[in-house]
Amino acid sequence: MVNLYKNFSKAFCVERIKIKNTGTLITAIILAVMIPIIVTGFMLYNLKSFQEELKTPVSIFESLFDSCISGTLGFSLPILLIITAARVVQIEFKNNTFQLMETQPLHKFSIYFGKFAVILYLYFISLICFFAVHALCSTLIYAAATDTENLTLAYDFSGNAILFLRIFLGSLFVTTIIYVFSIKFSNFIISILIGFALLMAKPILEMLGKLPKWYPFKLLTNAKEASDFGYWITYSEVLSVLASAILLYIGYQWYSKKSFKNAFLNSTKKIVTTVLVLGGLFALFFWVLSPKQTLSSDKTRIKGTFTSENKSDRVYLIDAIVSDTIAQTTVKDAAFDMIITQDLPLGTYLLRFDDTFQKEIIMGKNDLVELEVHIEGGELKAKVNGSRLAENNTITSVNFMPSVAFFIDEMSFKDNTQLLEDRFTTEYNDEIKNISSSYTTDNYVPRQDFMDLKKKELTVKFLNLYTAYQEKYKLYYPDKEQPNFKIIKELKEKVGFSERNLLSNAEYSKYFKAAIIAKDTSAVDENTKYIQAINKLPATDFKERLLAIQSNTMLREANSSAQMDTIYGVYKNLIQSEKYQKFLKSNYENYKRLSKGTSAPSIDATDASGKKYQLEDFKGSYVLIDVWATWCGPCKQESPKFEQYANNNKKANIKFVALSIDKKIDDWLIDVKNKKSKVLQLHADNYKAFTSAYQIMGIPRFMLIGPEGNIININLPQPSDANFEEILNSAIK
Amino acid sequence: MTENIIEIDHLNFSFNKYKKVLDDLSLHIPKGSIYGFLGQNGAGKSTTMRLITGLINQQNSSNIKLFGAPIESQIPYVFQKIGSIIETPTLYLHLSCLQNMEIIAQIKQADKTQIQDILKLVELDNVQNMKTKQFSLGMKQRLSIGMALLGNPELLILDEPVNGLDPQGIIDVRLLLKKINKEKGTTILISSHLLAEIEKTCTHVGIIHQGKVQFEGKLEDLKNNAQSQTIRIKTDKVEHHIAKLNAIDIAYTAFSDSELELNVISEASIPEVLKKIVLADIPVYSLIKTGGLEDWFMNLTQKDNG
Repeated sequence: MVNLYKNFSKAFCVERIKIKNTGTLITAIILAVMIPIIVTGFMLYNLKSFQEELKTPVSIFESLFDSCISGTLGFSLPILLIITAARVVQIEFKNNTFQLMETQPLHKFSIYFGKFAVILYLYFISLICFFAVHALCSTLIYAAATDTENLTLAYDFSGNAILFLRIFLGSLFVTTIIYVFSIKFSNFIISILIGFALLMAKPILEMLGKLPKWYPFKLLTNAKEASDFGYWITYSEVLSVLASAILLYIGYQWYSKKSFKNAFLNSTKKIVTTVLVLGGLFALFFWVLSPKQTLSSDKTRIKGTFTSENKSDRVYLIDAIVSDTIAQTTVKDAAFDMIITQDLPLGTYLLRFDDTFQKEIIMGKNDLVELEVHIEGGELKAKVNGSRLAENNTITSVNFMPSVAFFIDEMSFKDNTQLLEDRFTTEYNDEIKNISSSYTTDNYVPRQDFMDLKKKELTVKFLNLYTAYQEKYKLYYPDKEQPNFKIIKELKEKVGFSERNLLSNAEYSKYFKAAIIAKDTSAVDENTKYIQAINKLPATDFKERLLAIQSNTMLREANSSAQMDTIYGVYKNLIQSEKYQKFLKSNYENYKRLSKGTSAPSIDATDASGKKYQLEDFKGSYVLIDVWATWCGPCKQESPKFEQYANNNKKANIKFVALSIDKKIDDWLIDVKNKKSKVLQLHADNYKAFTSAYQIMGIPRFMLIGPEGNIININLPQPSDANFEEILNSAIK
Repeated sequence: MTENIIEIDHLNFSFNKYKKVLDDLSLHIPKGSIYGFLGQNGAGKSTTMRLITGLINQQNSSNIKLFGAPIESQIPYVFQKIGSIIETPTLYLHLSCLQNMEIIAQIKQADKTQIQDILKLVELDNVQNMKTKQFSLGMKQRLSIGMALLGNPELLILDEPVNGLDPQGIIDVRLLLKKINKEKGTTILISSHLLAEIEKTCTHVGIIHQGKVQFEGKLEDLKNNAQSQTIRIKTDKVEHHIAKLNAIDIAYTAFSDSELELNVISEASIPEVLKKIVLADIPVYSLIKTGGLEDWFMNLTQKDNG
């Protein structure tokens, strides 16, 4: 063993002599530091605007890093590895010196791994240069900055050390592939082509959604995603090392015995050894590759740390639908811990801090949720961990529009139902697969119950689409037989009619309602049918919840205060439990308060120059308010139409106001400064007071206040809606 | 009895099943000898060298022994005692002469001082910092020999070391090898297709033809074994003297109209034969020795080709 080590050291020493005069080291270093230098150039050129965009203190090292890391990991480091590995091996082939080396007292092991080691040695130096140049450039930018109010020189040593380790280990797979191919094929162009082909293929595969989890270049880029558990290395680095071990084993045996047969198949002993070694490595590889799931806990518990720029000492766990407080606790020494005794069904809940900030979390019974919460700069930042790690950290969104929906809407395939059925079935199956495919940086996936829930949500969505299609088909072809998709039977079996966890899902409500009133062929309206059907259900929390949700919908859609009274009366008698009674009452009061004719609550706002406004200031004209925020995409789409409408109606006695509810006024100020607007741009002074008074649950929201200060319509359709103008005009008359 | 530093016993080898490259080959290279491995191009010399140095793998290598033990068990550490050049000099062209030497010195753990001594010996010390890319073929050859000498090997295996050298270069290498052999007792195995060179350099010879060993042993023995010396005499018209030649009982052939070829037993009997010719009144205008080793060698290799 010692002799082998000595022998290997000799080989490594000699390899370092061989790379002299080749330019390999300098090329590697240039590739490594290329991107930081270029990005620094850009940052220095745009220094002023960069400084202005900083709202909270940020480390210059972090800032520069974020700009460089993707390009470096995805582009310059891979190229560095391909070129260096191929080049080092080429030195030997070009001079035909393999035979010189093989007639020296050098073990084949030393020759093979000595060369590999020198490649790693070059890579190591290049990475050090990358980090060094990054640090230097950051200090350069800091020195050049004129306003360092929001710029710090905080260097995260341990974080960067971990990153270095992860990048190095994550790169092994790529390095080994190129190395093994270079040794096998004396023409170095082949290995360079293979490397580049694999690199180019990555974005293409990604786009097609077919990039394997263990793809060599992906394992490299995974390094920038921090581990959820704060581990120094994640499954990604382990996979890289294992894959390298497999390739190096095969490559070395093949090289040392010269032929494939000699290396692996020659004798029983060899076959057995090969099978054992490779079998073991592959087994380990697949075990690491398989996703993990968190285990449930023995208590239902939420705990964590909490720091805030505001004074706050209470944390509330709220039911997402009925806004009921399920549990609460106080914050002591910047930490909180609450144990929930009631049975919590799996779903989305809200954790409320500071009375204004909330964080959505997914949890259920016997789940432990751990959070690190910071409120600064008017924003809530939280890191979530615990027994629902994957659920809270990956996007298993079922909130998208399937392409089949578009086809059904447009009735694109009305003449070819088979084609539509095929597309429907294929898209459904693909999306089901997608649900199981998202994972965290530590290779955790959501637990089975959560995935089942998401699958049900998806199934319901498709079932509703199918119903919509059938209805449309009836309209187009009243005489023809309705189409029957084979897969529907299977879908219907997947979703039941007492899925409590799905009640918050709009699609499920729609589905449930349609199913439950299907048998009722009487002449009354849908909503009456629905209440009657619900009433027939056994008295359970599920029934209560249904009644509560339906009551809210009815109240929201009511046209007059009197109608609201009626609805309240009806549901008051139906709902049994105190909790849901409270919910009903508070909704009723809120909606009534905001019903047509009632006096509009006061609004305090400020314009960009600092001038104060109040809603009362506009008495005498109609006020049309566009409630929006800089971070709201749909708002930004509606605002131009709002402006256009304002432009076209300059003569009318309407005051057009765009009211921002950005929590960070600076965001709004920047946005407004760059905008040339014909409408009055205001920012709400008190986010909480305003949104609560007007029950703003989502934006954009358009509200019309009359000249007397009374509410005309608290929730107009959006300007892009065809009805907008009509409703507006009729309201004004 | 001196031990054999290389011993090959009944080696058979083929690259594919159609052609046997080496047929029941046996070689014995005694310690301290300069052994010439002689054969035509394509006879199997390089293949044998590659097998000896383990560059070609073969199934059961127990037929090849180095230093008394099978090669398989000794590779690669046996190379500490061996310096070799197989086919062409292999050097790192992008490195200097000195750097190439340093690489081998590092591997063989040779003393740094040895590098300079050897460079002086092969007369490359004044160009040691020049990139080998710029070396002439002769310089490359000399450097390769120098590299093979690092670490004081007991055995040198040189495949056609004078290939491509000019006459002076050939002489230089020959003298160098003889010097090393004499001063250090290094066993040297040289392969070549130049009989003249082998004759001048080697103490032992092994002749290979179409994969088979035709002769192996000391050079003197070879010379002795090379049957019949012939002398060629230029005279006037041969046909005039046929009767006289028959009378003095000398075997002859007419090489041409005016030249006679006479067989003699050995060099020692030439004066006597000449005397007989002269006394028989046959004019002798010139006399040259022909045949000998070269002829024998040509005969040998043409035997199977003919």
